[in-house]
Amino acid sequence: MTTINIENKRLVNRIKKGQLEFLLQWINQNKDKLYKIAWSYLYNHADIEDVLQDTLIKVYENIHTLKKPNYFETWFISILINECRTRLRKMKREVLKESIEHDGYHLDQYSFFQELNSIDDIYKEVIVLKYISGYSQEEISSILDIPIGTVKSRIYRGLRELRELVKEV
Amino acid sequence: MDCNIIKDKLLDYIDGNLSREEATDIEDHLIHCTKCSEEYDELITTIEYIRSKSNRINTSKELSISTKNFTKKTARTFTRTGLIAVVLSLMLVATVFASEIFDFIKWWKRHSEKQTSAWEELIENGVGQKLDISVTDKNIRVTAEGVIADDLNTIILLKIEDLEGNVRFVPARDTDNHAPLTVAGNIKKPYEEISFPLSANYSPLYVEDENTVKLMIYTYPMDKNKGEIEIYLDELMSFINESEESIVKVSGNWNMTIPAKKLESKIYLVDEEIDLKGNELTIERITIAPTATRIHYKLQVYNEENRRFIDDVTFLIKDGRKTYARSELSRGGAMEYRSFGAVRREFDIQSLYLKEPKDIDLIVNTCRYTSRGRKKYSIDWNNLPQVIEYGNSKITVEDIKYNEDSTEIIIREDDSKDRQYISSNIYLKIKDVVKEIHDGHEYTYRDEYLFYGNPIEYEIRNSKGKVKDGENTSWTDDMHVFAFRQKITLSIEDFRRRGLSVDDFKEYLIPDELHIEGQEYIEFPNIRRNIKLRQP
Repeated sequence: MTTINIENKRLVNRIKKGQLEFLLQWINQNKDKLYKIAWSYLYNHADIEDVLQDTLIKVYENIHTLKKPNYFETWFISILINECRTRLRKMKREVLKESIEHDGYHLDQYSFFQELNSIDDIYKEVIVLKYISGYSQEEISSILDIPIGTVKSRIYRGLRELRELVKEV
Repeated sequence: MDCNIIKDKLLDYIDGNLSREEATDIEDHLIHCTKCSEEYDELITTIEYIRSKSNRINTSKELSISTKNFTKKTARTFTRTGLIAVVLSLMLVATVFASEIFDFIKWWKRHSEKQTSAWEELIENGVGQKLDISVTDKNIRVTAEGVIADDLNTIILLKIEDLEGNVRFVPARDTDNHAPLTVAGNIKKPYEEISFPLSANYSPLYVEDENTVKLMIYTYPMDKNKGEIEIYLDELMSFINESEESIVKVSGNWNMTIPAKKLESKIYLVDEEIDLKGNELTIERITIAPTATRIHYKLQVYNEENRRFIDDVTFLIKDGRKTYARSELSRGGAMEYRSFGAVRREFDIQSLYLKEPKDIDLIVNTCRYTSRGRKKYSIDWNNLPQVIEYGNSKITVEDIKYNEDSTEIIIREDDSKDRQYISSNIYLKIKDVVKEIHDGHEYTYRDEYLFYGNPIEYEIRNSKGKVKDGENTSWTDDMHVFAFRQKITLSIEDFRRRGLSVDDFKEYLIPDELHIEGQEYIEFPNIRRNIKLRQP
């Protein structure tokens, strides 16, 4: 068994035992990528916090359904994405705008957020996972539960759509 | 090579996923084909653009997520009710001291009568089993008098008699993770990982004889219809004492095994939707079992329209003139906590098992909720009092007192006449940096500890107003603590108990910003629904 395998197994066992400080620690170690994924959906900090908190709870509650500890990370991300989608659906557009105005000085970041969100969700997802959070095509295929060929074609399509936008800028 | 094949492989080429030969083929093609080379350049530019922009996303903001939030809500409820623990439940009382005895005995008697009569009504009607199994050790006799097991609970009645003296004995307090009273055998584990024996909740019942206490033990349902339950009891202590020093402890062996049969309950599927001012409440199922009538419901926790989180809903059942309230014979149902979306929960009402009703009148009795909104205040701690505003309320930070090992802060709640909320969630936060070594790696993580205010001046109110103190007061679900003043205590003892990592706690005794996160409200919806009970 490889090291990563052993570590995942330990982590999963610890979560099962309710030693959630280890899960928190794992989240903090991977904060950068997790945060960026949630950011690409929600933009503002408070919502990102909430979604990560809810993901933490979901992960704890459903850890028994995870059959292979080695897939812990991709499994976690798929829950996170699901939580982001649900949250987004529930949030009203006005609310999103309102909270963004408070962050007015981050215009540059906000326009990037808008660019990302102007392309279709299915393309945005793979772009974020691939180029912002650095997952491989195989990992993305497992996170989103779609065939690897689809991952590849969506990345390609997503990049092209973004390219058009960037050109306009 | 065909341009289409190249395009197919460009992403893998950029990722470095191709074999040496394949990569060389692509490179050769790119040199000669302008179209593909433009395509490649644009892909690279776009990827670089995404990467550089995404690097500027500020991920360094602190995440205030915590594992403590799992228990935060329950813990808060606990402090709120723990405050009036004596009124609420004996399960929380380990010993009683002389100074409290007078009021306590009166209350204890009344509370015990309720539980005892609920138990006896079932036993007299042939529900559950009478037992007479005794073990004597150290001149203390423990007798199992009966058991009522169903799909919701397993309830056991024990009698503990002091054969040589006049001491009322109860299981000793939990110390060092050793629970003096545990159960095993054909009990269903609440989750797989937990190991037998399980510590059990219990409630001491009053008996006239001064050498006797009865103990109602509440544990999980049985895992099969007929089986055995093992009871382990190895340490007892005196229940009523002059002082902490005069507590008598006795170690011994009062273990026993009792036979038990699980009684079948009736399950009714219902689909009753109730609108709680914008929060949807759905009654999904009703279980009628000997120990309780369980309401299984789904509740939308958060409502964006009125920005409120529902913390807790309680129910009553009316049958003719009789009102059924929370069951005394149940551990209580499952409570799921989340900050948004829907939760599934269970509420246990007094048994209707012997009535076999065809329909019931269900009443939504109370709805306790918290308003949304987190606010931080920089307080000039050397210059008090200071008035801060939260929503429409004016809250006064009155005083701070620095002691050797603790700091106490006194906060006055809004004192305007038309104040609606019952108390504010006020807390101080301590950020603790933890370094731990696991398997040779050092991990650093940050943990946050919240120190909530507790009411020190308050009034107990119910749906009709102030509850007068008196021997006839017994706790009902509509009672709540209306707070006038709160106190936040930062103490070294507490830091140690909660496991803060730093050795020198002194700096933590100086408070930082004050936080207010929502205010609690209680409503009495008094919504009544007639529900037909049809078995599927």
